[in-house]
Order: sequence, then C-alpha cells, then structure tokens
Amino acid sequence: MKDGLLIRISLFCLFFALGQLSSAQTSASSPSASPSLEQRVADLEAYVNNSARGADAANGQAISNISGPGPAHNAWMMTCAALVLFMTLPGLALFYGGLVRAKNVLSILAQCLGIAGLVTILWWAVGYSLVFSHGSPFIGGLKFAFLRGVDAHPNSDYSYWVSQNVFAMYQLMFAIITPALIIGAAAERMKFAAVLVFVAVWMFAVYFPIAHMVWGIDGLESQCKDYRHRLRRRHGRAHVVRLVGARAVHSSRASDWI
Amino acid sequence: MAPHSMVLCMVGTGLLWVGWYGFNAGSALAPDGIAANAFMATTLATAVASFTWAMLEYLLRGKPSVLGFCSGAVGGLVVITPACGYVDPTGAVIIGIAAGIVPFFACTKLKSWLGYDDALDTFGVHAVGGTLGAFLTGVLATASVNPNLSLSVAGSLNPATQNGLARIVGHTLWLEQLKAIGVTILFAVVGSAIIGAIVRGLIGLRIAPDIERQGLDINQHGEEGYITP
Repeated sequence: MKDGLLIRISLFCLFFALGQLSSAQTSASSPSASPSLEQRVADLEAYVNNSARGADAANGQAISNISGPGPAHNAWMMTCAALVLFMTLPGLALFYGGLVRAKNVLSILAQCLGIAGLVTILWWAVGYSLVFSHGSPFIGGLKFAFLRGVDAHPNSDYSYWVSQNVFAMYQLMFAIITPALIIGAAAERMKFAAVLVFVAVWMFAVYFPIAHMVWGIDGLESQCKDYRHRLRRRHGRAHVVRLVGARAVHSSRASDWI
Repeated sequence: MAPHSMVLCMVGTGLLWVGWYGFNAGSALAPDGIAANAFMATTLATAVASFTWAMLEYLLRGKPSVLGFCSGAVGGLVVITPACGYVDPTGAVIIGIAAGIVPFFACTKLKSWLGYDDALDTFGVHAVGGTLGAFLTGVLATASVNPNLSLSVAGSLNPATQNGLARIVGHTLWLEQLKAIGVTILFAVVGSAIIGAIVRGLIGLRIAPDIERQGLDINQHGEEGYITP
C-alpha cells in the first residue's frame, strides 16, 4: 500500500511538473513577454560601450530587462558632481580667501556661499530647463522648469545611462563655479548685494544662452546629430562649434573673460 | 597687495586640483576611455605648469614662491581643460609648460603694462590661460586619443565631417579655434560690460572708499575672519 501511494504521488508530481512546463512554454512563446537572449546581451554591451539600449533605438524593441540608469555611470557622475562642487566650496573660496587681505577673507567666503545658493535656486526654477530642454537655437524652453519630470530615468538626449536628475546636478555644479570665478577679479571691491544682482543677471544674459548654444540638444551647434559625441567634445571649454556660416564659439566659461 | 594667508591659498589650490578631476574626467559623462585620458592629461599638465611657474620665478627673481606653485597649478588646470579629451601625454606636457610660462608673464608684465585692476589675477590666469588652452587644443588635438574625431567612424553621419573638428585631420583646427575665441571674447566682454553698467546704475557696484579701507567683512557681513586681541 505504501508503495502504491508513493507511486501515485510521484505520478501526480510528474504530471504536475509537465503541466507547469507546458504552460511555461506557451508563455515563453507568446511575443513581447521578455527580450531574447541576443537583446539582453546587446543591452549589456550597450551599457559597457555607453550606447543606446535596444529599447531606446528608434525602431527598437520596446522591452528591456534593464529599465533604469546604469549604476556605474551614475556612481561616476555623482562622484564627479561632488568633486566639482568641492572646487567651489571650499576650493575656490579658500584659494581666493587666502589671497585677499585678512579684513576681506569672509567677504570671499560669503560670496562663494551666496552664489552657490542663488545659482541653485535659479537652476531649479528655470536654469536647467533654459539650457537643456528643447527650445530655440539660442535658449531652451520651460519643459523642465522646477525640475518637473527630471527623475532617475536617463534623458537620452544627453546620456543613455546617467539619470537625468544626476545629470542636472552635475551641470548645476558648473553653473555654480562659473560665476564664482568672476568674483576673483572684483575681490575686495564689490558690495555683496551688487555681486548677487550681477550674478543673477549674468546667468540669464550670458550663461544660460551660451550653455544652451553649446550643450543644448537643439542649440546652435546641433548640426551635430550624435549628441553623445557633442557632449564629449565639451571636455572643457574649447569646442569648436558651428554657427550659421561663421563657425565658432569657444564653448566658454565666459567668466574667463571677466 | 600681499595675500593674508598663503596657507589657506595652498589648501584651496589643492582642493581645486582634486575637484578638477570631476570637472575634466567627468565631462565624458561616462567612466570610459575618454575620461581616462582626461584624467591623465589633467594630472600631467597641472604638475608641469606648477613646477614651471615656480622655476621661472626661481630663475628671474631668485626665489620660488608658494604663490607661484599655486598660480602655476591653477593655470595648468585652466589651460588643459579644453584639451584634456584630445591630447596625448606629450601634448599634455607641452601644454603644461606653456601654461607655466604664458600666464606668468601675463600676471607679471601684461598687468602693469596695461594697468588694469585685477585683485586676484583672474584675467591673467583664467582669461589668458583659457584662450591659450583653446588655441593649443586646436594645435595638439589628435584623433588617436579621441576616436570620436576619426573620420572613418562607421555609420551614415559622422559629425566630425560636419563641423570644425574635421579640421583636425588637416591640422587646421586651430584656425577654427581662433574664430571661436573671437566670438567668445565679443560675447563675454559686451555682455559683462552691459550687465555691469546696469548694476552700477541700479545699486552701485563698488563700495565706498572708507568702507573699502575698513574691510568688507565687518561692514558687509558683520563678522571678522580673525579676532585679534
């Protein structure tokens, strides 16, 4: 009896397993349930090569097992964003602060801190949007105002693997240090209120337009269709950018001229 | 006017140098081969420029100063920044030497010759250095470092054929860079002059002479950096 029971149980298990297997086969054969092995490998290669996933391609499959940003790309860009902030606070502040006379050291520190706060607010409100959203060749639009919709998903206009919020913060650090460089030329001379007003106007009149022209997706430079390539060219400032007819523009930290 | 603390200045310079790796290597927007090259070029050029500036002082004035090392390092960082994704190690060292020499003479000779007021030599280091770097990028950039510049990239549209970077092949990229420099000077000088005039008209730029004598800290911020008994 005992053996009979055992056989019956094992037979049941066998049928059950077969049933499961067949149902699994039917679900696997149904289209678009999961990407093929080739697609999955291609996605991983795209990650290593910093190119687009299949799901991001224009005519690509809409499915990928990798849905979010690339972890190493985000780790690297967050580290670099912190490093660039470190250049201003306290790097530039101490560099300039040490160079002035003792009676003016705090004015430098206060100006660097004030610029970091002011530019961050401008960047959150409209700055990021005016530089990096679609608009005219000279200035971006307001799609990302108040960082609306700027989340952990990459913005494939600029990077296939870096989260857009990380990208926005990295770019913010450049927007902070650029006006902070200016104050070295006017150290020990300018009123604090004048520094803040000058910087606020300068961001709108000089930084946001130039940054959009050079780095924006549809900036003047946008003849270049491979955006990752263009972003690489931004290595620093000197990138030859094509203007209509007259090419040019040193992609400028314009503060270098002040 | 003499710096009040070269110790603080040196600390700030070191922090700038460290942070600048995020600026240059991070600009690849990926931890890739371009970032690796930028990291190397930044290190080489900055160290060489710092050393060159101080050795120039040694030769011409008899004493190498900490301010010289610091100014040279910042000058090197400024000049290598446009070029770090495009130049090989030799190019980086050449840029480092140039960055130690040209801004040095801009700060020591050009400033007194032109007679402009520049409290912390921002013009001498950043404007002169930035221009030098933009120009030298055009001279020393090589497609062997940055494959994006290669004309033989597979695919329908290689951007390098459509913009100034294609000139790298004929070694005329520096001409494009000169045009770019011109446009940037125009934009920044005119823009800043107009904004400066506006702010001056609204609330005034410069503090009163007696406040300037007393110092900004106590008058503008109500604090003192150092309490001396």
